[in-house]
Amino acid sequence: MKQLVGIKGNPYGITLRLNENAPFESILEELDVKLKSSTKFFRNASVALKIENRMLSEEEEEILINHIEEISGVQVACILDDSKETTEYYQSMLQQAEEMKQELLNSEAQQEQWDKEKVQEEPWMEADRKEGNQGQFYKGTLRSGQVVESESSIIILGDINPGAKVVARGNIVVLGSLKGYAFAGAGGNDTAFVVALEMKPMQIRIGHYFGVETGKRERRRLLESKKRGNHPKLFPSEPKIAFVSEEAICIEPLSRDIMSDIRYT
Amino acid sequence: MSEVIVVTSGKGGVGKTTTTANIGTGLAKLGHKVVLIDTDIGLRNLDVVMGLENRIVYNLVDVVEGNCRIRQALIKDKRYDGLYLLPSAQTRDKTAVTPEQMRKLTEELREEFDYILLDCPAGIEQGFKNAIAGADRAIVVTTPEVSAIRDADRIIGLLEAEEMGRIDLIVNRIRMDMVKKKDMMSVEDVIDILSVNIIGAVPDDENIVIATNNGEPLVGTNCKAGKAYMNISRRVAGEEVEMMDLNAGNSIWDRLIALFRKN
Repeated sequence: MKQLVGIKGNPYGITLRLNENAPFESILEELDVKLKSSTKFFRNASVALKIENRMLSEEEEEILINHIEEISGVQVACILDDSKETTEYYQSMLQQAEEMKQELLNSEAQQEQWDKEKVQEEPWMEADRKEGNQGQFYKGTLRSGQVVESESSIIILGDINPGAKVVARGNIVVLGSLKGYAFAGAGGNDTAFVVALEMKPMQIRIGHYFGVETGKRERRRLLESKKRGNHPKLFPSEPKIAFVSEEAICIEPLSRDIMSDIRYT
Repeated sequence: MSEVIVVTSGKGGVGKTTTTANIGTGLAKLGHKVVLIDTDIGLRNLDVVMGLENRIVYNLVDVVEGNCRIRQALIKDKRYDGLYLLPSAQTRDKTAVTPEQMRKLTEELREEFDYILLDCPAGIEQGFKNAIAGADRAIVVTTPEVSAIRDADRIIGLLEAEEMGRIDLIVNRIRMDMVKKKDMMSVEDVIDILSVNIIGAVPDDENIVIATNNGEPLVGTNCKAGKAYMNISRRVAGEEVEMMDLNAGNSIWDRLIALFRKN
């Protein structure tokens, strides 16, 4: 008959190999028998216990430990458990716990981030409010490859050729043709605007938004003018203003209405 | 008073070398003493366009390094009085010469020549810096297309930053038939964008190809480009010359129509 209980021991612990199918009572009986015959070996020692091959419930474990302690006199200091199922179970539990912890941390970090951003907005808003009403003047034409930057607003008395760039924390006013790049509200201010006597930019950026000239309208105008036989230059270019409206950059002819609508803070 | 003129463009292939050869020859035809210097070290071709490549013994780098005297390196063009060429080296590169050395060289040449023309290489680095080092004025060459104009704009910006005395523009290879069809920018469009003084416009002419292959600059001859370059040479020398009507054709029919138009 196959043994229901196998005992292996070393000076520090006992390994109990239990049959997984047999009823618990039978296991206990056999254990009692085996333990009685080995009391002399383990007398009053403090040992670690390892249970192999069978999953025991908490109750069963307790009963088992009591039996061992009563009969053999050893003190079960701890139970070692590295059965596959248990290990996997613990692993998955651990993972879940980690994930939950991480989520919690993330949401906290997110919250912090949002708070930080709100706090960060203040400094530039303040700076812009101080410098927002100030402007610098720049006289001359910006040629391709040249860049002019301003901590406040800037007014250019000249042209911005294709390939040139103007960057300002505030607004940009070009008393000439804007054919290059313009970046207004460079600190993140979406209420800045760009004005030019001739608005033909390669790219306009205001705050977080940017728009490009697709060129289709330009080509259509050229084609139309060809049909009419007029030189395109004869069309007077009107002063235009670019600003952010409904999450996009809008370019409109400069009129009194728009001027009064400017929400620049 | 001698003048040191640099012919530059930024973009390659727009006609700097052709322009240098033709203006230089034009000025020599007008009786001035002219020296042409090819500053494109490593990719020299001013000598080829001038038809003088088989007479090269010494070159610019030899002069600057002290291997020979300037006089030994200069090649006299037998076709015209007072026209000399200082060729570049084919086996070195731009680092062989510094702006300081160029300045010294042009200063020395000032004593002997009325006009010193420097053929600048394409680009904006060492070669360009070498060429503009000793120059009093610049002639920027461009063709009427966006890429060339963008580069010309950049070059003009760099020249202005270096406080170049005088900057003039030549619009090269213009085709009036395409301008009429609005397929090409007109001279006015180009000036509009670049905002510099224009010293001449040269029409696209097949004869340039022939002239280059033959090594005979066509300035002063009876074709359109020849006439345009002659006018430019005269303007460089200080004369006031009316802008050529690029629209007029050369055939008898065109000339008749032009006559009627004048009346």
